[in-house]
Amino acid sequence: MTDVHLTVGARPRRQRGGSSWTSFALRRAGGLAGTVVTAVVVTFFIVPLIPGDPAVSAAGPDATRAQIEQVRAQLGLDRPILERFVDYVGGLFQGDLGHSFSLNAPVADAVFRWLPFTAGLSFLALLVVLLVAVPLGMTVGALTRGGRRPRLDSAFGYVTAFVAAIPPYVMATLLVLLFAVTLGVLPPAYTKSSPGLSVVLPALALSIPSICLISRVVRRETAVVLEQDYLRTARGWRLGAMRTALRYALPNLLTSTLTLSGIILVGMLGGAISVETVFGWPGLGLGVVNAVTTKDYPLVQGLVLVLAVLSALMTMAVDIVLGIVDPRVRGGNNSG
Amino acid sequence: MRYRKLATLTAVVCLTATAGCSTEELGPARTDGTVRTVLPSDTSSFDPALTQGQQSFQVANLLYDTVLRRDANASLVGGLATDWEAVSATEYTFTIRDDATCSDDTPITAEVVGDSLRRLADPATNSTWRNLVFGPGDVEVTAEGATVRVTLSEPFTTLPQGLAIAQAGIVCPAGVKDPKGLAAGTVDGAYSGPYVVKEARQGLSYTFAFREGYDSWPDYATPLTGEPPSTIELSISTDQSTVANQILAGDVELGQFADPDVVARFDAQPDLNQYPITQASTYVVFNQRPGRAFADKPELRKGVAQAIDQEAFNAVFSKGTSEVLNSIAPASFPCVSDDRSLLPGHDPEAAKKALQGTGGVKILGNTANRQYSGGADYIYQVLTDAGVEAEIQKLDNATFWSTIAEGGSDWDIVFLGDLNSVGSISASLDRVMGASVEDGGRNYSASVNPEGEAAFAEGLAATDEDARCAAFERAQRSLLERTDVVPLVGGPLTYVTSADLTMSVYDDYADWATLRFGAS
Repeated sequence: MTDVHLTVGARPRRQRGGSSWTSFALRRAGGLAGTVVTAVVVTFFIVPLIPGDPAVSAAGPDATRAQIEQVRAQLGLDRPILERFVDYVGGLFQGDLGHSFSLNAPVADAVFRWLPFTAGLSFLALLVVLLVAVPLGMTVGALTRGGRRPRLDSAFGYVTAFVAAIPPYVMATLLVLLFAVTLGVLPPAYTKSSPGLSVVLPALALSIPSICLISRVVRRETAVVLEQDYLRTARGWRLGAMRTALRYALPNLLTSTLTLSGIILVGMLGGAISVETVFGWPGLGLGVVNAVTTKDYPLVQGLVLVLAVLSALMTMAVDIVLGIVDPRVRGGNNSG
Repeated sequence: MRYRKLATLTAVVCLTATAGCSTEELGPARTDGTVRTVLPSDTSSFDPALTQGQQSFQVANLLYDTVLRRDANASLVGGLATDWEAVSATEYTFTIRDDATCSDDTPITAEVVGDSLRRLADPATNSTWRNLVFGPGDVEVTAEGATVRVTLSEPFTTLPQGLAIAQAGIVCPAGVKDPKGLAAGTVDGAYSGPYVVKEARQGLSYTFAFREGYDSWPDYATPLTGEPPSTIELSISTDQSTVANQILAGDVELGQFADPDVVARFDAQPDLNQYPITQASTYVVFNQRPGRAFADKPELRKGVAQAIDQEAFNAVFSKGTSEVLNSIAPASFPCVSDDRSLLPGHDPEAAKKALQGTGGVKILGNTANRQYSGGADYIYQVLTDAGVEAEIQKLDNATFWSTIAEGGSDWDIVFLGDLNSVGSISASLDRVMGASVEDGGRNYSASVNPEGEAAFAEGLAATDEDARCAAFERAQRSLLERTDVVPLVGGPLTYVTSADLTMSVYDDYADWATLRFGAS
């Protein structure tokens, strides 16, 4: 990556122009389609392996055997699984994810009700991560390059390693204790009356460990980039620290930072399950927990499918951005 | 400078670490007539006949009035009925009040009540509450003038208690005509109770609005005072600590907690109101199907009972906060045995003597919450200490119930939490005697106890309260003497409300329709 900006204003030579983009897009689209098909098949056939009888769960502990069987028939669970699968796939083509028996509502309605919460929370957390981690990592990298300020370097390393190791669930609990219970400055959980304030703590719980992780990577990359010859040249031209950092150092950090951010964003969807539980945040994560608890197969299948598709879409989006930023990626060397 | 930064960092870390130990201060109270509360899971259906789970019953209490209502001291009071009579063990009449209306202003007549009860009794409705309300036999409901007459093919003298449960709430004609809309909460005229569904966003939140002009309150022995909430907003959270935080922050006015550690957080908050109830009964049940370890072996079952120390179990289960049971239902229920001499008592030496070398015992544990999980660990530990070769399998709540509901599944001992929403000992007795689950009954153990079953049937046929209680107590005596069950403790639940919000609790039954602001 360090040879990209050797000459001011230089642009890397395009590799076979449009064909590299076509091939790149086809590979990514194929990967996305494969992921979706796999998710549909796996979620449909794996979810029923969860122990427990959804008909009993839906009928309740007071139901007689006959009533349980009646509920099983109403839910269509008495039909052969392949027949149900064909119906399920047919429904998917019409945007029908099934009917949740715990919510007594279409799964798609629940997904669209919860999705904005999870998406909003995840993207806000990612924004915070990028806005804080990149400048923080670059600043520390610049201050400590070439062995300067070793104590700052060590302190930064220890603190970020410690905080990054804190699981989101624990981080969430600590934040609630500090800012909601003790200081009383932020709501401890989602409240309908102030969703804007409610999102602050969950976003922090998701972003703080990631800030530490990404800032460590950025610090390391910055320290390496700043020692490169082309940056010595840039400094020799007296372009100024800020201009040097933004124009010549930052672009070379983007590939690794974006790659890591994509992975972290996908990971945030998983982390959201625990964080949403702590904060009562009505997103997909909390929905999955409730759906598994109630053995609501259609809801679990729908939510897992949506989460899988979202993850695949985000991975593809990161790949495309990387392809724009770093044309070498389109060549297939770094295709993931 | 360096040290100042370090000091700041240290202060932040220490503040975070000690936050949990500091005194929690209440957030500002709000008085806009709205109650904000949080349920542990979604309400399953707005159709009272099909609703499942404690949280759904509470919602049904808000939306639907019942023919009778529970009052203090295990008594019933008129709800939609002003008067009622048990003509015989199979025939009951109810006189319906003339001032009640549905949410679409349709008068609630005897015919309206009769239609709703007929729907509940109809096997096609597939209500799991049907047999708990009317018993297992055929049901005929007729309406004439202001009188509703219920005729049963089999005696079932706990019918009045059954008609007081939220699941027997009266659905107005608009709801009866549109069952799907009724279940989804989209039929505006379906409600007979004080509230209507203003907004239902399944999986997210629900809003209920008080019906202007509603005044069909039950004639409780102690009249309700104060103002009912104008709006009740529900959201969903599975985490009790989160809800506790919200109450302490003043974001929520009503919460419910089973975890004693969470409840303890409110002890230093005298301004909050606490309403502890016993919402379930826990007891050990033995699988007595042929070939199982405890089938036809009362001496082994007694050994298990002797191995268990109820007080020690209570400490594990609820940190000693639960009611220690004498039978399979809380003491507040009518006709519950209080004779502790029927219990073998804790005797570890006798237990060891009886159980030493007993092998192949499979315990099923329920991980519904950490209390139940810890309780299962306790049972496993005392049996192992007594020399039983036991294995324990822990299952989530839904799997646990579906496993024991199968009948022939692989287990020998479970301890279950029996949520008896009827408030009658009979609704717990048939879980452990009578027809087994595989034969269409509710008896998980498949025990065969002719003496107990005869007493149980006698109780269901006795219109005289004293005679009924005497019969039910004989049934419990038989059950306990055979050690078909081992009573443990109650499953505690504590409702916590903000300072200005009160609720009435009638013998371990919390009725959300009695929520009031500014009650004296």
